[in-house]
Amino acid sequence: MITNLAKLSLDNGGQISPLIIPGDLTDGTGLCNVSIFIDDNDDIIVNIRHVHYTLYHSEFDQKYWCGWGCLAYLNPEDDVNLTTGNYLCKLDPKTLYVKDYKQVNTEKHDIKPNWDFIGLEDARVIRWDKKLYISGVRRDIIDNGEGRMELSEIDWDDNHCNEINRERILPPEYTYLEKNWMPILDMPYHYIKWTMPLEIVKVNLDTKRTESVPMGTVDVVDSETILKKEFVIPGARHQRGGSQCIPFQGGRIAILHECNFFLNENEAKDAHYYHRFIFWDKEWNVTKITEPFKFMDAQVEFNCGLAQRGDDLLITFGYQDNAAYVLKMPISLLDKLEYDNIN
Amino acid sequence: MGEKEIQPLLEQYINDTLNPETNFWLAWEYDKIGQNAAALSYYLRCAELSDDEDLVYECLLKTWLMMNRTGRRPWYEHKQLLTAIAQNPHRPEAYFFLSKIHSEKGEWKDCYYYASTGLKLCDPNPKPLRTDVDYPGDFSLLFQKAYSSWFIGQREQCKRLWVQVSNYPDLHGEWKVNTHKNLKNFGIDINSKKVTDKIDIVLQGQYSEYALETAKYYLNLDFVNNVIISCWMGDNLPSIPNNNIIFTQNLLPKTNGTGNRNYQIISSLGGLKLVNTEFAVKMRNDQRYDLNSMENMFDFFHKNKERLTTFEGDETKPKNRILVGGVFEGFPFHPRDHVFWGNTEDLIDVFDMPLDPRGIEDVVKMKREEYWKYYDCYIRTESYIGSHYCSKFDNRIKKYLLKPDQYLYDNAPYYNEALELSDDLSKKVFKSFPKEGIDLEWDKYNWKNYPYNSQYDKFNERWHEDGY
Repeated sequence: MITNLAKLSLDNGGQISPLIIPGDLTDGTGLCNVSIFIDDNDDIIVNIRHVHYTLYHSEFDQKYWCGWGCLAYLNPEDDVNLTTGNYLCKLDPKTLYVKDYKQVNTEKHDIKPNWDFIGLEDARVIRWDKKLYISGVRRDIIDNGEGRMELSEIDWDDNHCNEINRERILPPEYTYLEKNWMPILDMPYHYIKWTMPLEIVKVNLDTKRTESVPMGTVDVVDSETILKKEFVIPGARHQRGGSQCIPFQGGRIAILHECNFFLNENEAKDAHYYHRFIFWDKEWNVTKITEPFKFMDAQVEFNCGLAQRGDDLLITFGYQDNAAYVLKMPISLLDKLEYDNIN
Repeated sequence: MGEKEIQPLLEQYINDTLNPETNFWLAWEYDKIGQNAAALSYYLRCAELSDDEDLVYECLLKTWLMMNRTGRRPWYEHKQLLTAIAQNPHRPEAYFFLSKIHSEKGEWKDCYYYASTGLKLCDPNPKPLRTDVDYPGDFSLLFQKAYSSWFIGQREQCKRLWVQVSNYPDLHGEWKVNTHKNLKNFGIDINSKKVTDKIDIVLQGQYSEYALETAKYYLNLDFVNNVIISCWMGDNLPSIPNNNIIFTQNLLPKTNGTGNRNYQIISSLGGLKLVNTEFAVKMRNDQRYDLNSMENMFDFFHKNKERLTTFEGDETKPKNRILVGGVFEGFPFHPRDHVFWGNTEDLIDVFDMPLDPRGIEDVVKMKREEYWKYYDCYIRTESYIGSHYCSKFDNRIKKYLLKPDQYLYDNAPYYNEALELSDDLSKKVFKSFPKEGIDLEWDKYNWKNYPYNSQYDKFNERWHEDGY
């Protein structure tokens, strides 16, 4: 298994860059789960998730636990909430470093949180119908932590970065938690809800309406399943959403993630995260899928973004929930990856 | 924002993700720019991957520091500092930070506990950490102990400790301001102005009432400024008897060194660093020269202090020749170590040397009285001190120290080469006081006078009258 896609990329002419927001704005807490998008004017846009915690994660022999164990979310001890904020940034096209950033101002649509996961999590960046959106999961509306994908329209210029519209997407059928839907860039308001089996949903903005929730009101929209296709990798773990789904070589490509949850010898919950590239043809048949890989050899990594720029793929990911990176991977390297046998 | 500095280290990490070094230095770059979370991840990986105890300790301390800078995680911080102490109970930083956490909350017993325990257990000269951990300096634990001792009822100790803290050379900034404020509140006047016409005396060794009486005795001499009693952490000290008597407590080393030489080195150096006069004297605290002898030595020193040679490669040093209680003929670089009288800077150079890495009894158990049988297995203590100082004058002696079994042990194959060089150099570096007009009592052996004759006959000790 490839445990270090970053090294493979660097060895083949790729590039890796750290993505940083000044620590005095974040108290130095985690920056992670970045999404990347190449805008119409060729601007490279990323959304960096700022978690207000620091993940303490002992790896390897796990000799040095913190007071709470080998895996702990170090949120403020006087505030049990795990709060997320988002920074929209533009990257320098050469270095891929953050050259401009603005915190997304969500106050217009915020209501008093009703659950301890607060904010829009793992937001992917998209532009549909000339409108810039970030779309992720929000769980702070209902007091049981029910999660729904949301579509947030952003008005961003040199002076401000405001969320001007927010739609909470109701799934086709009720579930407790919907997250990691992958926006399909060339199909406005369509997401891949599941990949194994494939389920594509369409969001119907025409159904927009206001609903009362315990702490106020929210705008909701319906979604409907427009396509389902059987696809199974025998023996594979459950496949979960990752990047956006982007047009690629006449078909489409995305990055998925999967989790290997396990109990360590102390019976404490722990996990390894892996990712895969998946390819579809125009008719949404899976043409190939890679074996699982890791980006930088850490247990916890998470990808939210994928873009094509010239002969390269730009891949953004979080490292241990604490650091954010963009990896430039030559497209030619796809040929050197290991692929699952889907026949 | 620091990306350019991170970039090469990130690539080094990617090329070798399981190397503790690549993890550590990448963490450090994130650390420097306030990216605490990212830094914590890599420090923690380094700790998990490394077998280097000091590096693991530093990384664990960093996992505390990163969250300390972030704030609002006090429980985590406390536990993480305990983790660091468990990793290395002999380093001072984590004790200090725990002590500070408690003093900030007015938890004086806890503050005092960590400061006192740290002072008792920690290495006196810990290996420097690789990077800054916000540790203020050598004075830190003593400062905390002084601070908290007032609030737990140790009032006299408190006053004494503030005096000690004030004498730390690295005391600075707010720490210094607060120390001086406290001293002022206690009515203790610390004259930081360099005294030029008097001398300070350092009495080194474990504290005893005899040492205190000796200090008071020497203060009868009008040329004595302060007497510094340089003893050990854990010694039970009295309240300040006199503003001209300064106590300093040193940390015991891991090993005493053969013949307790490490004790002498540490307590001498610790005291000399507090000297506030141009010239000073280092003495054992279990001996006492009579006042007439002291006056004679004072006069003799000033008549014979002119330097006769210089350090190799540094003509600014030494300032003067060192006057000693005697010299042993036939042994290389072997002054008597009872008294070293000289320029303060020179005396600090005398005792600024590596500690003996192991004492004879770290290797084999034996009685102290039997040591002499094995002079061909180790450097004699006074030669150890003399050789190290003389090596600053002639680089050949550094080689002798690197191969002592070839040059400096009794019967070493090249002993005569060392002796020949010593005969030429030692007289230029050290000058013996005369025996005439100088006498001392030695409490330890119940000597009322110094046995010059038997020392001459049995041990080859020589003095000014003998041409040394």
